[in-house]
Amino acid sequence: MQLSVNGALHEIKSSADTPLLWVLRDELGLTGTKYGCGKGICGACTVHLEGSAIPACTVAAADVQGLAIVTIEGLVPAGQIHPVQQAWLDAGVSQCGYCQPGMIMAVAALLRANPNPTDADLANNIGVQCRCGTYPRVIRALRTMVGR
Amino acid sequence: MTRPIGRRAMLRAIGGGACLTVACSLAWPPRKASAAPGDRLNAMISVAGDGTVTVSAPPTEMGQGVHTLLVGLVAEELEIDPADARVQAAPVAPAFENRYYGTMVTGGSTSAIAWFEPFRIAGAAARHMLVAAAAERWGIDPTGCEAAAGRIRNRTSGDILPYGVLAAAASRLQPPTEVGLKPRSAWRVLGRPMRRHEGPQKLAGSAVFGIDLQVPGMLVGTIRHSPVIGGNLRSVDPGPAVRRVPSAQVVPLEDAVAVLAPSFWEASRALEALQPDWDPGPNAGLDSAAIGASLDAALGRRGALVAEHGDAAQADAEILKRLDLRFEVPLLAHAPLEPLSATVSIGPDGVDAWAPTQSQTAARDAIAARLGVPPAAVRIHTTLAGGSFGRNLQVAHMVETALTARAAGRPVKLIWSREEDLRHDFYRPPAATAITIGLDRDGRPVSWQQRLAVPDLRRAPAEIPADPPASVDPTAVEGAAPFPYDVSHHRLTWHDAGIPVPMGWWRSVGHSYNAWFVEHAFDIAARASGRDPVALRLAMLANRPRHAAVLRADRDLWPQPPAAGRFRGTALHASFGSIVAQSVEISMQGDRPVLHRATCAIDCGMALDPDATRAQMEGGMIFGLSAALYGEITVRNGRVQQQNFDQYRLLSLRDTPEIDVTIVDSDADLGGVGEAGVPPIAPALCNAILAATGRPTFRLPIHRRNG
Repeated sequence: MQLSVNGALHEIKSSADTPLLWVLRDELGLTGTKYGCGKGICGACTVHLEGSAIPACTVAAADVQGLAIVTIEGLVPAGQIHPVQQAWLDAGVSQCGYCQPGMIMAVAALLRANPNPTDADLANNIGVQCRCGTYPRVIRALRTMVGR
Repeated sequence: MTRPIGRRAMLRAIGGGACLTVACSLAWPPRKASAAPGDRLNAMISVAGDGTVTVSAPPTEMGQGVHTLLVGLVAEELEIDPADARVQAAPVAPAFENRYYGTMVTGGSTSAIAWFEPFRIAGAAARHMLVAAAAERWGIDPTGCEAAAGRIRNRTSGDILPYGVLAAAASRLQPPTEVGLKPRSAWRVLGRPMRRHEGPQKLAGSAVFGIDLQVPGMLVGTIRHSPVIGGNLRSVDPGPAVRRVPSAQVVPLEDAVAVLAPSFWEASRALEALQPDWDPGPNAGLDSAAIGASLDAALGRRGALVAEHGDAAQADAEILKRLDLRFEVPLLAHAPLEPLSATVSIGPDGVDAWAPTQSQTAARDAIAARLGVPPAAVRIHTTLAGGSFGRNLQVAHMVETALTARAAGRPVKLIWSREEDLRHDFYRPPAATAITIGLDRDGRPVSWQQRLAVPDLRRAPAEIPADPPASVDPTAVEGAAPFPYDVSHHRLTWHDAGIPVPMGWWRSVGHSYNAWFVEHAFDIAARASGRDPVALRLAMLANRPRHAAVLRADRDLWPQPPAAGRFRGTALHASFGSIVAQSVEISMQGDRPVLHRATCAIDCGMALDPDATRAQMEGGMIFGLSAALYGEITVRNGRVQQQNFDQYRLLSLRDTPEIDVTIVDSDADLGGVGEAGVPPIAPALCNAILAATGRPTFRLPIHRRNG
């Protein structure tokens, strides 16, 4: 089985039913994608599949063969910073930071689909759970990004 | 919480090599540092030959921003750019013990208070020694030198020497016996918003949390405990696990079974195949109703007097009307987003344990005791914590990991599933209270008599509570006394409740329920008398000017009265040395409150990092709202029923109100900010619901599953 992760093809030894999350973490060593619930509820494991945000914990590796997977490590080339990451730094969003890779992947996907989201768009599309409660800053950072 | 009653710093510089390291021990009575000279373990700051400044952080970074603050404290006095410093987690050593607890621990919102002076003193001492080294090299008086931005400048010649070049020479000098610290007016780092030190790594996904740890040759494991709380493992046949995952290794433990494999997924799949034989133990019949009955039974016992002031007879003469109120809160889980984990490697030269622990000394000692090795043979490496909120104050999972690693003969990373995390927490204890409020003819409370039933967290959960208890568990009653409002008579008794469930410290601990009990009861009384709750509070805070100022500061964030259909509630609570007032504005959609805007005013003495203080208030309010609206752990047949976030709901972005925070500067002592933002929001919300509907809330959460 081969997976395309962050622009590179990887030969995968994990069994076909292994959730993408654990292939990324335990086989490819890409630990930026986090485990939070294993049920697709919390969004800590959000990655991009063909540009769309999906929870990596509920999709089997076999089902994403041949599709472009991007993780937080591949969001931008090494040494660069994504506009969402920059906005997050400027707004001081992260606290413990555990959910933030998933949060950033979710917001980056939303912005690609809708470059000028309203607060309602954000509320309806960003279901990533943040136990530290950084939501007010997520909203503020996004408002700044879209010039509101 | 105790306060330091004296101050005396002992400074040590550790020579040898090209690196200046400075340690400072601040304690009363003065205590000698126990590490031998030349031992770098106690170094709080090191300046390397290349100029790199490394700060050793005793408190665990769990999102509260304490690493950023420590860098700020050092940078302020050492005269470096905070961005140029590195942080490493401190090892277990006497210099890194939290002086309020005498052990290495991150808790009680004490980090900023405990380390405010030691790290500034260490920074100032290091700067002093670097200046002295430069003066010696230039053959001038130290007063001719100026330290700024990691360099020493010769005021006369304009020559410059960077810290790195001076580090070796400075390390051979005696540390100063006394250092002066900058006055607040000269601060350039502290008191201003700081950039989160580890922020870039967190956003890039490269920050290492407990579950991210990789050790060569390690196996990854997961664990299942007795489904009935307090039960034990009788036996387990490893066959089904090995048949499903041939590489799996099954490790039976006393009350759990762990499965190891090359990956978490394989370990999980193998664990699912097992059919362990559990001894359910004494709790097989335990359910939430029995827990409620235990609280009731406790309220009926004599209890211990916690606080009493004023004159009951005088109050009786003033009372026109009495209100009898009873409130109850459930067990709560911590549910940090990072599930519990630890990694342990046992080698010939000792034991290494990595975890996002909040209790380094306790972890070291517990692992050492169970493995039968001396504590000095156990090295604790603290990772970043993906939240914690008190969960990682417990160390049992680190011991389990160590036992598993020993059984496997290989390094082991043990990660709990979310289901295990929710079903086997050390829960926030349930609590109930009965409050009798006497109102005078003006509708003003003049008497407040409260009975409080909470389990004693100092004893084993299975022990039968004594009546009366020999002493009061301070965390059970914190926040219920001292009573801030001016009344003729106040009396609080505490009644230890027997709840045979593992329980522990949950962000804001006793304040998490006591603020709700007192502050919601206050509004119920005020509304029963037709008094404005905020105005009535202010009238009863004549002797508490800081409380009153905070309440006014929060009120000032609402210049307009609520629009039609909108309702507000306010609550005020002092905890961890800080005073916090919060308000929330809601509308009702049927039975459900819709949250529109929330506000917060805090007096924490001074905000060392105002942005971090705001973040902690915002986050604390959201943490408190999750609990108030949804938080509830229920038990049936001895089993915790909530298994994942669909059953243990957290507030989502969609439901989050706008939040405004204002900081009330005062000259009071430093207060903690990590927990103080949690307690007032639940009563503020219930007070808003009371304003909207006239209905008090007698049990949390507001959206209860079991009616």
